[in-house]
Amino acid sequence: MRDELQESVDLYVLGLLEGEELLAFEKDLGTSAELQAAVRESKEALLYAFQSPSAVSSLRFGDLEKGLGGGGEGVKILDRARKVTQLPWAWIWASAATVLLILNFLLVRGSDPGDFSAGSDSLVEIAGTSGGSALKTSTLPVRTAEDPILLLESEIRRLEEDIVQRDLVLEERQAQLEGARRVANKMETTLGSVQTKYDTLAMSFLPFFEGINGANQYTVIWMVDADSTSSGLLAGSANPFLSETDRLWSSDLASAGDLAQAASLGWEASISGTDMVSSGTPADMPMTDAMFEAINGGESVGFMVWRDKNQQGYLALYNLPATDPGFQATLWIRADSSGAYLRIGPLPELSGGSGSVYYSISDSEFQPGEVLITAEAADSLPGNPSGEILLRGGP
Amino acid sequence: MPADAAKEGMAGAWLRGASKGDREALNQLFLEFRDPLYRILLPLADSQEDAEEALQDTFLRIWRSKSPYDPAKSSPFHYLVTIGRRILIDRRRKRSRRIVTVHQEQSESVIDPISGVYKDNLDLHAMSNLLQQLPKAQAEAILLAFREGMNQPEISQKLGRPLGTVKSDIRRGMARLRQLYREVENAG
Repeated sequence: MRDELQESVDLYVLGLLEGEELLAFEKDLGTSAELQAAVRESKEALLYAFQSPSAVSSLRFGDLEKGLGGGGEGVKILDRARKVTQLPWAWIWASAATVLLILNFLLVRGSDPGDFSAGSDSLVEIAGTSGGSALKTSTLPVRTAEDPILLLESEIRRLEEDIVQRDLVLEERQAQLEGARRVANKMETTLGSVQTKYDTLAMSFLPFFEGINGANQYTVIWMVDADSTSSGLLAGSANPFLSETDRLWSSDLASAGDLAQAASLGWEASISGTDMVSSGTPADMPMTDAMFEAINGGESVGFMVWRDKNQQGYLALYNLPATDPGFQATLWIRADSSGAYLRIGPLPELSGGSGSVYYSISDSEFQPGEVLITAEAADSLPGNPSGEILLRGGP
Repeated sequence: MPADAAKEGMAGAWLRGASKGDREALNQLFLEFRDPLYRILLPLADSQEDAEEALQDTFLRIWRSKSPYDPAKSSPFHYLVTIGRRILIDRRRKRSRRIVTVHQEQSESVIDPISGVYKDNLDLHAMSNLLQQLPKAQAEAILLAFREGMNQPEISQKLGRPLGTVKSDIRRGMARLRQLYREVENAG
């Protein structure tokens, strides 16, 4: 099976295919026995890796049957929804009860105490002291469950509990609001840092073009992730550096993968670099929107600028994949797709796979047309690119 | 889980029967797949209770399902796993939204801002030997995709690795898993 197809199978099994890719894959899956077998194998391997071999569920079919008649999953969802919609009704009833109780209370306070005793057998005479010396008697009602005062007190307690409950809800809402504010602040900070990064990137390579007049010629080669299948990023029409004398090679992945046999050319090459060089004058960012989106999206991209007059190259790299231990990212260039690759050397350490690299070549006639970054074994000095391709660009 | 085509055919018939309201078909399906499915859902879930609920909801969803099962696209068991895994991911996402909101102030350092899951959920030791045999970066990427339902940019952000590296880790990790699985199958 082709590597690309196997990769699609793996992405499908992991649930990573989306949208049109997923629809197209499932359409093919329905008709291709080879694809069905590959999906089955990948899925079985994956499930084998995830399974807990000795686990036994305590769920019984009887438990399941309880949910079959419209219960189960659906019932839980309805319950949750009901709780949410009940809240306003509780408050409506509570408000109505409060008004009623206040009215009742006022009526009770305004009425004659004798009203309680009239025609009632539940009254007793209670003796007590009042005003220090005078012995008086007063008539008080025995409080029964139907006593309006008791009912009022009970209602007041209930209302107080409701208020406490309401305060808790309010606190939760305030916490949520605070959380939302903090997320908004975080986003603002992130946007600020993206802008700073954007400016820094601009500063890092603009000095390279200082002093350029119409007579100078330079080459821009876009580089893309070896896994990319889209060439949208490679369109050069938006490149602000281009003028009539400039040349741009758009990468063509279909032809860029053919690594020619290299031969020693005897050229001397030097390479140097830092992560995120920041010098020179800030200026408008001369990047295409597509490239900036790709960088922000974490895609591996880059571009190389070559100045003919100085035989100097500038390489901007973003999100270069990390190499396995014992391997290092190595830069290669060649004049055209039929020529041999010139090994420039291993790239310096870049923070997070992003940074700038300058290099020069002693051969005054050399004009690069293709650029390649591969992961090569650190303890070898191969004459040809032989490791995994990390980035590539060229005609 | 059924190994041969005849068994799979029968399980497929139970699946179709259950979705048409055949209680006996659902019972057969339940008896056949309850434990195998639970063994997959348990490591994907946050707790035993979570796994049991997802197991129950998987069979209930089959019972209420109106879309027919297509044997060309997956085996009955894989079909059930797909449903169960989706249920777990949906539940976790709903739960994590609540966790992040309520506990943001107290435990911001503990809760992961992307998935809302606790970071120690990424503990690879809880996973099978096969997964532990992968390089950590590859196992983590596969774990986040399959268990957490994250897409590749989300995995890249969570692990702080370039997207290209994550893609490469997933590709290599899956190739290695297939290789290890074949070795296990051949040995057994």
